[in-house]
Amino acid sequence: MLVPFVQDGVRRHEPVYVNLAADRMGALVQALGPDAQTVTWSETHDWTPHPWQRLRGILDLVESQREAGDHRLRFVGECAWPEGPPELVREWERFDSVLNHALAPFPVSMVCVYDAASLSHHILDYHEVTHPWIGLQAPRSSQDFVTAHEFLQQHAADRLPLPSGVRCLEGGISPTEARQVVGAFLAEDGTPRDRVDDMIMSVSEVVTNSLLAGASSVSVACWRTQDRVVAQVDDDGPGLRDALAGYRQPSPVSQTGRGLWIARQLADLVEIVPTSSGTSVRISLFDRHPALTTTTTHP
Amino acid sequence: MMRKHSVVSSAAGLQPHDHISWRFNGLSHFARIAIAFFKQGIGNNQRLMYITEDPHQEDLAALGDIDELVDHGALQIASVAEVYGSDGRFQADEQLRTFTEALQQARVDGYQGLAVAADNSPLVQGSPEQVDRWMRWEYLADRFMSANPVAGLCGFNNQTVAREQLDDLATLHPIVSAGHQLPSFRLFNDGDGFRLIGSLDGLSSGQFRRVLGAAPPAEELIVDLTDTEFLNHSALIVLAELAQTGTKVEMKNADPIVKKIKDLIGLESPNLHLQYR
Repeated sequence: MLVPFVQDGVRRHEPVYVNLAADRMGALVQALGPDAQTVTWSETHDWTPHPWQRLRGILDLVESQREAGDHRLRFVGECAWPEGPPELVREWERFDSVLNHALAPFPVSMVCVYDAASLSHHILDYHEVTHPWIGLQAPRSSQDFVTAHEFLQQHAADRLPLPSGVRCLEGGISPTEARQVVGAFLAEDGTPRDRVDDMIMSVSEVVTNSLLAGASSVSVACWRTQDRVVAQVDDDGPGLRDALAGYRQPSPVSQTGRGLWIARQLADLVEIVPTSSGTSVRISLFDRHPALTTTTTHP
Repeated sequence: MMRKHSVVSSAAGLQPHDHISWRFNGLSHFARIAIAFFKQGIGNNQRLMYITEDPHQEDLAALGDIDELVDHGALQIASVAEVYGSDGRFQADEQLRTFTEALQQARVDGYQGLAVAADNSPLVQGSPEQVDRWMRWEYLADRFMSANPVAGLCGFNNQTVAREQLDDLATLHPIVSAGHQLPSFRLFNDGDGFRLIGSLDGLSSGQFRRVLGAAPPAEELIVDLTDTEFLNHSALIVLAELAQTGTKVEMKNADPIVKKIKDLIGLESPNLHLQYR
């Protein structure tokens, strides 16, 4: 099914990028024959199993191709859907929605591949909400599609109550104190140094954002679960004004708006939930990136 | 060897090359601090210089026979107006010449160096331009102390100098007095460049921009980040802004996370260099 889409791009001299699970990619290479040589290939687990690093990668690519004078691009992409934690599946759904929004201003055709045989019903249900068009040979507009703003508002993370027994430094925490608390916890946990730095930076940016936005009280808690370390920042501030805040890189001239974006790039998962008194931000680092699910099918 | 940086609660024991910001409450308090500072200066065979708005010999009575110290040239007492002019519009480089000559003369007279205790408050109470002028002078004075056997006790009066200015001034001293909220970072001369200690995040980057903005124009700014606890993107952006004005900015011994953030936000400038460990 992907073959005509790729061949059409090749015929029009459009740069074509294909990012698929390894076995699916092999089958497409074979089916394309000599045309495969003009396509840029990558494997979905390598590039990249992190949703917001992937978004950055795609946008960087669009930008560099535009600078090189290529105006229209084609992408075939397959998300690295995790078998694992449902909150990471939710994050990939947000990725799909934000990606659609982020690419809208650019002359890019993108096909997102969903493997109906292996993915859960939940994921398959949502793809009609996050994509404006469904199907490839005879695309139909999706009746369920909503904009990224709507999707992010409707699909914020669930409530984020602290697990029982977790020690929380309540109220009036400064970024310096937050960095110390998180650093000490992760050092004791045995988290590798580079990941400790990722977490300290992420927490620091989130606490700083809270205070700059006007929060008068910021609390920080850290804990470990079976597969990850978590730091949570709760504040009594006004919350995010823009549901899309921190998903896309701010322009180089922008003075603000980088903190949350940096946290999303460094951490494995950043969940944000409005609460009755303010906002909860939960930042997770997985010990190993959750296993990925793919099965062999022909495109 | 790294230049000494610390937070101190006593002015006793301060040595040549030490440069201290001391926040005091009331003139008699400053005199007490200066006496403790000068006792070490006498021990180090440094010529003592005492500078306040309206200095009196009796301020320092606890040092011993003041008349004798003054007569022998071991202690020089001068008013702020005598040293910096009466209109507060002194030129930092002229001031540097004055102190360079004072050091030369002290050596000619058999001293090992200078111990200068100055209540600078009258010069930082006015307009932002006046404070900027003083900050520029602190850069030069700190380099002078870093390179020469001179100890400097800079007094700032808590009661007359604005809080934000006290904080900004403290950032340009390797040693600061305890008992007050400390600035989150400090920037001081060490060897060929500067050393940055403490933490720079989104709450302190505005101050970092102000403090760097007061620096004398230079072709190059070398900043050693060995002892920098934390530095985030907003501080990197301040350094990148400086690089854009044509100053070559070189960061040394950065943590890998600093390099990661620089790459992440795409800070590229031919004048911005980062070496990490």
